[in-house]
Amino acid sequence: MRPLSAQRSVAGKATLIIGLVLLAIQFVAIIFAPWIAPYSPETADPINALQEPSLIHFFGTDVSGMDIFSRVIFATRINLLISVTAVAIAFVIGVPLGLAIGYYKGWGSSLAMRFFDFIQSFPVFVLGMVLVSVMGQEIWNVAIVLAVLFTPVFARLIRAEVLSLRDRPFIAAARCSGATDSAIMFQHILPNALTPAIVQISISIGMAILLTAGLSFVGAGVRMPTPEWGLMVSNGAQQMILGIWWVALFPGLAIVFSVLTFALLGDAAKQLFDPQTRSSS
Amino acid sequence: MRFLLRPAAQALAVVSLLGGAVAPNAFAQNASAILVVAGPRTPESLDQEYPPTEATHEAKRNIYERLLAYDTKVVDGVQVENFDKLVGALAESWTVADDKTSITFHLRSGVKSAAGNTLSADDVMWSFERGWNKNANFRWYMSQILGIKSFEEAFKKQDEMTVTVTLPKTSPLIERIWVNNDLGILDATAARKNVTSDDPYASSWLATHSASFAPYQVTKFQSGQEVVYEANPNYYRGVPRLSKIIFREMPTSANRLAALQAGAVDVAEWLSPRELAMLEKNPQLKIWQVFGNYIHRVEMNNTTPPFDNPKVRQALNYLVPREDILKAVYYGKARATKSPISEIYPSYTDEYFTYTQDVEKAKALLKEAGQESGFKTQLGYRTGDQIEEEIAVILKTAFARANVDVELVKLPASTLVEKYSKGTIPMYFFRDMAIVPDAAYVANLWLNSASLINYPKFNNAEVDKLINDALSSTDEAARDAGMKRVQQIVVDEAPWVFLMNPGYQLATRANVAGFSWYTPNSNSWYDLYKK
Repeated sequence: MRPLSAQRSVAGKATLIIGLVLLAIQFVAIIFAPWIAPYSPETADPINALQEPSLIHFFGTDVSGMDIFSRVIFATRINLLISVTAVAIAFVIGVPLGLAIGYYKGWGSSLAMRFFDFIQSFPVFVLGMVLVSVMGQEIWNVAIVLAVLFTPVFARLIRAEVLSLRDRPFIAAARCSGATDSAIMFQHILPNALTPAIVQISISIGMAILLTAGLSFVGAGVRMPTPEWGLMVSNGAQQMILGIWWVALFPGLAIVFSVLTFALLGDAAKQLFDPQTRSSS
Repeated sequence: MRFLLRPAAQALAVVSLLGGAVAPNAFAQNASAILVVAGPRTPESLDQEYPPTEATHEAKRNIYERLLAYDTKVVDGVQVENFDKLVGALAESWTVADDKTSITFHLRSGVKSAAGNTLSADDVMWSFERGWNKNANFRWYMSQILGIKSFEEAFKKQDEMTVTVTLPKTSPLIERIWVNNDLGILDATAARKNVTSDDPYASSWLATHSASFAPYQVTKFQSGQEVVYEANPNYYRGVPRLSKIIFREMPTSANRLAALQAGAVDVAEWLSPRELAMLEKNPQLKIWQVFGNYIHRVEMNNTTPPFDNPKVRQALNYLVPREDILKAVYYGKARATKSPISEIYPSYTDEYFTYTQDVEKAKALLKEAGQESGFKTQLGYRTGDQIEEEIAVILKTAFARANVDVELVKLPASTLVEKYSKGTIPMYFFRDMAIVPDAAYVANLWLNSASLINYPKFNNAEVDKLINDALSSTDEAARDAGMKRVQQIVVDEAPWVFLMNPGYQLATRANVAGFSWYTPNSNSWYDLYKK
C-alpha cells in the first residue's frame, strides 16, 4: 500500500492532467471554432427557432433559430478572452503594486491599501454592474472592469508575502552587500513571493468566467447576439418554464466545464508551487 | 419563552403571506366575486393627468367615468367598441352645433360616486378646470386637438346639469374626443376635501386615491406591489359583478404564467406569445385575443444619413422577413402592419403596401442611394422586452444580407426614450397605439412634422396639409380621401420599418368571462365576471 504522501502526489498529478486535458479541449474550441461550429453563431434562422437537440442541431436552436452548439463553441473564445485578459491585466498591475506597497512603508502604502479596501468593500458583482454600465457594454470594457476588481486581490497577496519576507536575514544580507531596492524587490523578494499569486491566477480566471457570465445574465455584460455563455443562459432561462430546457442547459454546462477546468488547475498549481502542500505530500 | 415566540411569530407571518398569495380574503368574501390579477406593474399614478402608460390606462379605465362612450358590439366572441355609434355615459344626452363648434352635455341625473356624492355640472367644471390648469393630458387634447385657447371662453356651466364646450373653430372630433380614457370626470366633492393651499387640485391625494363616478374605486394602492379595486355600489349602470379586484405586480412574465397555471391568480396580463401558445393547450385556461390598434415598428431618424434618403428606408422595409417573425416570435398572434394607421380604424387601407421580403430589390435601392457597400448603424430596444430582442436579432441577420451592419443596443426604457427624443439613436423600436379611432388623429400624432412625438422627424408638406385639413374639416368623404393619400405617401416614403400589429391578448382561468377590449388596451373589470 502506498504512503499517504505518495497518494496525494498521484492525486495532484491526476488533477493537473485532467485540468490540462479540459483546458486543451477549450483551446481547441477557441482556435478551431470556425471549423468545428456547423453554423454561424450570430445568424438568426427564425424558421428553425427552438428546435430540440438533434443530429442537425446538436444542442438545438434558440428563440431566434441560432444554433446553440455553434454559439457555445464560439462563446469559449469570448468568455476565456475576457477572463484571461482581465486576470492578466490584474496580475501585471497587481503584482508590482503589491511588491511596492509591501516593500515601502509609508503614507503611499496606506493610501493604496485604503483604496483597495474601498474597492473591495463593494459587493464584487454590484460594483461590476455599475462599472460596466458607466463604461458601456463592450467586451473590452467587461475585461477592464474585471481587471479593476481583481487587481487588489493580487496586490494584497503579494504585499502580504513581501511583508513576511522583507525583514528576513537573506534580504538584510542582500541589502548589506549593496543591492539596490529594485534588485532586492525583483531578484530576491518577488521570486519567493510569487507562489500565492500564481495559484490565484487560475482561481481568478474561474471567478472571472462566472462574473462575465453573471454580468451578461443580468444584462450588464456583452450585447446580443454575441455568443456568450451567461447571455445564452439568460435567454434560455426565460424559456425553462415552457419546457424548453436546451437553450439554457448547454451554455450552463459550458460554464461549469470551464470553471471546473480552472479550479482543477488552481488546485494542481497549489500542489506544485505551495511549499506547505509540497512538504506534506 | 421569548426565544420561542419570535420564530413562531415569523412562521405565522410567512404562513399568512403564503395563504394570502393563494386566496386573498377568500374567507371574507364570496370567491366568485373576487378577481386576482397579475400584471407587470402597478400604475405609476392614479391621477388621470399623469403621462399615459399601459398601467395608468388600465386604472383610468376602471376608476374614471367619461361623458360619452362608444356603443359595443361582439366580434369573434369579444366585446369591442363600435366606433360608428356614440352613446351617453355620464352625459345622458348631448347636442352639437351644426357647424361643430360647440357641444352641450346634459348630465345623467341620480349618478352617484363611490363616496355617495351626486354628479352635477360642478363636478364636470371642476374636472375641466383642474385638467386645464394642470397643463397635461386634458389641456393637450383641448388645445392641440380641439384648438381651445381660453378656458373661460370654452367651458360654461349652463345650469346644475348642463355644460357647454365651445371651440374657436370647427372640429370633426368634437364628440368622439369625450370618449377618451384621459378625460374622466372627477367627484369634485370628494377630491376637494383633499385640497391644500400648495395643492389646489389635490394632485398628491389623487395620485394614490380615486374619486369618480366609475364602477370601481381604489381602496388600497401600494406602488410596486398591489392595488385593490372595490366596486362602487352606486354605479349608474348597475352594481359590478366583481366586488373586488386584487391587482398584484409580478414583473416577470414567467411568474405571472406560473401563478395563473397554479390557480393563484385568475388573470395574467401581458404574457409573451410563446407563453400564450403554450397555455392554449391547457383546458383550465382561456386565451382572449383581439387585433387592436397597436403598431409596432422600427423608427428611423429621417433627418440623419443614411436614413434621410427614402430609398434607404424603403430598402430596409424590403429586407424584413415578416412571415418568419410572425411564426417564430408571435406564434401567429400578430399581423403585419401595412399602414401607419391602425388597421381597425376608419380610413385604413393596405392597398399601397408593397414591402414583401425582396433582398435584390433592397440591394438595388441601396445602390441607387449610394449605399451599395452597406453601412453601419445601431438599433435600440428596451431592456426586458423579450419580443423586441428576438425581432432585433432577426432584423440584424436580415439587414446584413444587404450589408447593413446593425449593432443591437439594449437600453433601459427611460434611456431609450431620452435618446430617440433627442435624435441620438438612428433606429429604435417603437410600439404605440392612438386611442382615438380617427385616422387624422393618428396621423397627427405620429406623422405631422409639428407633433412632439413624431420622433423620426418625418417631414412632408403635403402630409402636414392633409392632416391639418382633416382635423378641421367635417366633410367625412374629403377626410377619408385625404387620409388615404397620407397612407400612400407615408408607406412610399417609409419613415418607419413597418413591423407588426401585435394585437392584445389576455390569459385567464377558464371560469373568467366577459373579456372586452377598448382602444387604450386596458382591461375593464366591470365587463369581466366569474362563471
